[in-house]
Amino acid sequence: MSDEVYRAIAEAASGFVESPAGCGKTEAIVRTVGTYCSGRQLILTHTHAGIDALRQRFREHNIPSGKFHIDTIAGWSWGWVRRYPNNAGYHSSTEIAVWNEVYAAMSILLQKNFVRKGILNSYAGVIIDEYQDCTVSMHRVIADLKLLLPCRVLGDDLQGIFGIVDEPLIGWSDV
Amino acid sequence: MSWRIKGDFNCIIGSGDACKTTILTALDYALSPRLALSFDDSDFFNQDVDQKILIQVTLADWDETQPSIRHFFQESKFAQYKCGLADTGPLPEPQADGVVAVSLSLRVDKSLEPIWSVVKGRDEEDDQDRKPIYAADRAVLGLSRLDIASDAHFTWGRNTILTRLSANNEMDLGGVIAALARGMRQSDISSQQSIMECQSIADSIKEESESAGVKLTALSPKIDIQRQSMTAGAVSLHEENVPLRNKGSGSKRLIGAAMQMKLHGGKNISIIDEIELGLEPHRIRGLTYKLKKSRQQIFATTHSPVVIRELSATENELYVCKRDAAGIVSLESLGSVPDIQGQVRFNAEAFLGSKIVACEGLTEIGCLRAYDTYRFDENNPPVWSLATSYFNCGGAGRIKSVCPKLIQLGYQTAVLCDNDASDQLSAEDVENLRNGGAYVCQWDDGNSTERQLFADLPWHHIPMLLTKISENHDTLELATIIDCITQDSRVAGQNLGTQPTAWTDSQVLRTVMGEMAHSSKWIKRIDYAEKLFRFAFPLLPDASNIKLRLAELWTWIQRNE
Repeated sequence: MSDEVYRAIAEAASGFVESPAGCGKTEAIVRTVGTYCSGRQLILTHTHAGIDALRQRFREHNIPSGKFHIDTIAGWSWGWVRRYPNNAGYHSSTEIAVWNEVYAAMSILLQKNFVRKGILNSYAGVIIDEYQDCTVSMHRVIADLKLLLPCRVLGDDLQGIFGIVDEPLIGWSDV
Repeated sequence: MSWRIKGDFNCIIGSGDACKTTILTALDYALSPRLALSFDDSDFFNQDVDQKILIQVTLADWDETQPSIRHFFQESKFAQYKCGLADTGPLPEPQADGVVAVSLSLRVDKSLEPIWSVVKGRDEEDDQDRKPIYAADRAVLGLSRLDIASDAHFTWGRNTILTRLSANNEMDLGGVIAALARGMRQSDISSQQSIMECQSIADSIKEESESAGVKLTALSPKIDIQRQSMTAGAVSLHEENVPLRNKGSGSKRLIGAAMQMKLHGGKNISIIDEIELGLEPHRIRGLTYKLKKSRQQIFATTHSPVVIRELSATENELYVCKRDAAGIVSLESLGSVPDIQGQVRFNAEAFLGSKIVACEGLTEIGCLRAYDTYRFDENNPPVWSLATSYFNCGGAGRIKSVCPKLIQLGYQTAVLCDNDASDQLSAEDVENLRNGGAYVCQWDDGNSTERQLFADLPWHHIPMLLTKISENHDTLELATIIDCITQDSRVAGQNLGTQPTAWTDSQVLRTVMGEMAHSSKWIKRIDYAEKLFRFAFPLLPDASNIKLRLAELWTWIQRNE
């Protein structure tokens, strides 16, 4: 991928990049954030392996840590929901996450003004990696987030490594 | 204790040792950007170190467009630690359409190590969701203390207002000063006469050390600039060549307040113990006005009636601090008492003590002041040393509404009233006052203060009393007094004549004189009444009603509760 693509990703109000595995999507995230984005980016992925891979790459490129925050969609949502269960309408345990409720709860939280302000204070944009692994409820969280901040999603529909989830995976047509 | 703060100007009043300053210090400690605080066992309640110190302050209504505040409320900081606030205190989460707040807690346990954290809800459980907050983040709250440490604020030392005002500039003051200090250390001073004397001592020490087995290469006197003394704190504001710290304390207070108003666009918190210190009344009024108009939140204490008069009780700007026998401290807004504003302005002094004698009017206040001096002359402490103030109720009818309010605010309240207007203050009213905790001192049935005086004074002193009334009074002639008395229909038939010394003692004549004095307001001014009673008290028999009643009131005042 070229610098024009990175710049386009950085400047997009929202959009998606679809490309097969091995075409440099991780590289694109790192280059985009490191060079073309202004302000801190929230980078969401799905697995801790994914987080480690991204962190590793950011280190290799010497990108200052102030430019990004990497988390899983699950971890990031849970961080908010477990601290505001009442506001989120989440009535299950705050010790152990009940995942099929967490994302809906996060969607509710994203309607709250004080939550929105906190996110706006923290980030200038959102980048979601491995979007093909998103479930429908995760997708709703991202759709709500898109109303607040530029959301750029990257993925390919061949890479779905978690086939065994209760929820339907999101189809590209929904993005 | 807990204190629900209602407005932007909060001034605490109350008697000495009621913990007013401690409350300000607690706020200061909880919110100030100091790196460390030193505590010792005596800081704990009753020195019981197993009961940890816990100060929690909940803040709301910040300006989240300010960059520093936005930074504070990032996800990596405290975005997820915003909490709710209800009348009962902080809540773990904001309520729907409710206040969004943030709550800081300072805990000190027996390790004496202060721990600052942001907590969600009331800080009660150890396993509560909390996040440490460090000095740099507390600095965002913009709290400054404008009293004790005000000299430091005129320097660019750590955490001063000037330093915080300069925070956005990339200044390397410390580096500049350190370089200067280094230059000073390296400069050659050895040719100075006094330094040469030091050198000979140094030489002898070198010799002595060598004989003791320590071999030193060269020993000479040089300036040792400790790093801590030559930091940015060494740079301070000067007026011409005079450091601002040499200004008068009042001016320093005003300059400090002015600097603080520039911090964070003025949206910050100031703590000012004894706001009136070093200021003349007009400067007190000026400062109070400026502070009220600024966007800051102010926490102050005062002992000045001038400050009290400037503030609004109804807008909850004045709080009474009281400490009960068990040491429990509480604060009550003067505004919690309806219709009190006029009283606060009119009787500002009374609110600065712990006991109040609510007097029916000016005559009674004058009477008490005279009694105070009279007892003082007999080696008793005067009323003021017992933190008791007089309070002018302004008529018998107002006593029954005013006194319960004073009691509600925590003042021990006594009432001194006459007994000639049961339509305004009935026996039932008096009973209610007593049941409500007031001590009531009242004359005999039907007697005004004046009538009681004329009833109690031995007859041979009465002519002199009439003379004194006339002498004290600006315009009243003795002849007029005598005329008024002798022409009263009840005694006119006696042909009394113009020489009071020739009059004979009678109940009816005493009544006529007393009523006349009362209705014609012969002594209805504090100074009139005070002078007259100073004359009368030594002459009144100890068994007279006036003296008996006042002695009882005196005992109440002396009683320590």
